[in-house]
Amino acid sequence: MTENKFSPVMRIQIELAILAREQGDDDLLAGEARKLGLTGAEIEAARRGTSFNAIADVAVKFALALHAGDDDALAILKRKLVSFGAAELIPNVTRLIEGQGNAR
Amino acid sequence: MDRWQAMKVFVKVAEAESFANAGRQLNMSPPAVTRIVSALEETIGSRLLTRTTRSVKLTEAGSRYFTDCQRLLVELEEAEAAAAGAYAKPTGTLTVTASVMFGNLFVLPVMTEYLDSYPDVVGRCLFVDRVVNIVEEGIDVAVRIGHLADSGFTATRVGTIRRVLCGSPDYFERNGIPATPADLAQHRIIATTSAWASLEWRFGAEQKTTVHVNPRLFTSTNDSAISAAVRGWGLTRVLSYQIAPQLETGELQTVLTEYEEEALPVHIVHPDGRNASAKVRSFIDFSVSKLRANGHFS
Repeated sequence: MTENKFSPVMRIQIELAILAREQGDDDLLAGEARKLGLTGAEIEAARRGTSFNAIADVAVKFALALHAGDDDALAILKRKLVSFGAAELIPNVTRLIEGQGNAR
Repeated sequence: MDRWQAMKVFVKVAEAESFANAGRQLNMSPPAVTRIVSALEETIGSRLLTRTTRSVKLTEAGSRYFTDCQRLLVELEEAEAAAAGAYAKPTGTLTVTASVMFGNLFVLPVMTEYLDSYPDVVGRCLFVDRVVNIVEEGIDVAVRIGHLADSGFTATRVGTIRRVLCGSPDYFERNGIPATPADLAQHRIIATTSAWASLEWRFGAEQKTTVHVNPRLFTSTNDSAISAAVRGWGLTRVLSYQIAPQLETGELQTVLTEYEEEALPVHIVHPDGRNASAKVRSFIDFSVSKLRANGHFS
């Protein structure tokens, strides 16, 4: 087990962040996040596009940049994930965002 | 003879082991105290105290009677308080204890808000980083973090908190992020020297692992360890609530989240059970809902 794997907790933080940008109703997601052990403050942080966890924070920002098509931010965040030893997250997050419509 | 008054005097003499000291505490002369206890013994028909020139000790019968008197006097006090309305309306001094940081961050705001709603209650906060004896120290309500010993007290769970490893974003930029607990050997560690501190850091909920850390910096308080971490000096391990403000501002971030131990329960505890006074019942109702709504507990 490594810290950098694409965990259900990280995935739901990304989904909350994306849904907040799309101004969607996230009651179900928030309930699921609570079941996974996220606190109310962590759920709020995800809605703001951040995470209290150092690697998840970069992963959430990477997902948002991908979703927004922000290539400059993407390049910086990719480098950051690699330097944090979390390069394996890049394809996982990319697949999640590109297949957003049927990801769940 | 007023039997209740005699019982109070007898209990005081037994506690003080001295007629003179009991008299001082009761604002009575020693001969008056001696006379009351003798009259009580005569009424009961049994010797309650053994008197020597140096001390006063309970006899076997006296010892049993002492316990019964204590119980009856407490019940009398409760009956009088109930009749006076103390059980209907929160009144008097409410003493609440918690650890220093938890108290400052979470209990104090609840207490001040509570006092705004209940003007006849005086609040007393005892925030200390030691195990408080609830009964001996006259505590009405305590917040306890961790698994509870079987105390017979009434406990209400308000959430859980986690033991987290944290550092500043700046530190992670310069030093990278540990991927496993074993990687901590490559990082600067800040440790506290508090009563519960250990250099054997345990990780994992199901698969447990222990890492012996070699801190470069020891501090006597969690506050200063957190402060050093915020400055980007190194990594420290604390309870999640202790860095709630720094997580919100992004000054600190957690790492090795997947290796965290099981979350610790937070309980509100009180010793009075169903006989709790109105001030205790109202504070518990108030604080349970406030603490459960707090975003930093899961």
